[in-house]
Amino acid sequence: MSGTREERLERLDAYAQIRDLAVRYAAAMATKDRETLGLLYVDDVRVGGGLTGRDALREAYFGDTLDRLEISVLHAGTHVIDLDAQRPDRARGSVFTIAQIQDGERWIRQAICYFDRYAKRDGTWLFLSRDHQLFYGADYEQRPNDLPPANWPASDTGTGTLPFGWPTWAAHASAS
Amino acid sequence: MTVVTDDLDPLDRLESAEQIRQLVARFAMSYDARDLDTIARLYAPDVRDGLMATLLERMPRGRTFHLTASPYVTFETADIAYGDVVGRSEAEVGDQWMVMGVRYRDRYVRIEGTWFLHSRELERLYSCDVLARP
Repeated sequence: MSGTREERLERLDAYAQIRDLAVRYAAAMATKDRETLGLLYVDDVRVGGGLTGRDALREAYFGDTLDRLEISVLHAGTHVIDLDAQRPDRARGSVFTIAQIQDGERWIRQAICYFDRYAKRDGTWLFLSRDHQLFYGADYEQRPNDLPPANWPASDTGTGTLPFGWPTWAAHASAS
Repeated sequence: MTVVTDDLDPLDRLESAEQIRQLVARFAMSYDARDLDTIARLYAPDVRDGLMATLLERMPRGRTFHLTASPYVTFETADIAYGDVVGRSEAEVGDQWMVMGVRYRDRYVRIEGTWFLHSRELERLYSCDVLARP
């Protein structure tokens, strides 16, 4: 990596903080810690429908969804981080995650990829946004092979948007 | 057991370890996305064609999902390192859904400031259908 010693340390700090964000999110989901979940995002986070801010986010994303799930254990794995070469306060990332979820009588496994945008505010890296894309959600007694579409968040189980949504997947599938 | 066996500049070692972590993660994601151009760029130029040919030969037609843990990296020199990566991989094979506990033993090389994957040995710790017990 190039740059001054200070710039190099700043980049390393960015990687470390961003990796930590994904892990903190997983831990806060497991403990249903809505306070912390909100604090992992920028304070003016856009929630949709013209709403902004952490409280609106907690209500929209971590309200009913978390209430419905009894156990929700997220295991964040593969984490690709792309620091923005033009803007040192911006980055993107993709986090592969396996979720183990109790939904009423059902015990579910989800394979997820979160597509993240991060921003640095006052020295701290935070989520600008997290886009949850599903590979599949399946009951533990189901094979994921031929499930109907999940249309998440409408359903926690079913076939997701990945890998089909990657242009490279479509190109490879049509070529082979 | 000593974890650090080299005498590299700590800042350089941290940067290298970070680049290697990113290399491992990007490889896994690109594989699941079938992003062959990106995968090719992660292989060292001198072994790229051969490793791509082998990779394509073994690539399943169905969906795959690779969850890798952080590799631990041991440096031989400032530009040669070995990685040990434990992960879980899933693959759609016909009407089965295979789940595997895997370990990759990697060799990385740094060329003009960029780390590349130079070789990867796959060890399957177990492999079975998702509804079976290993």
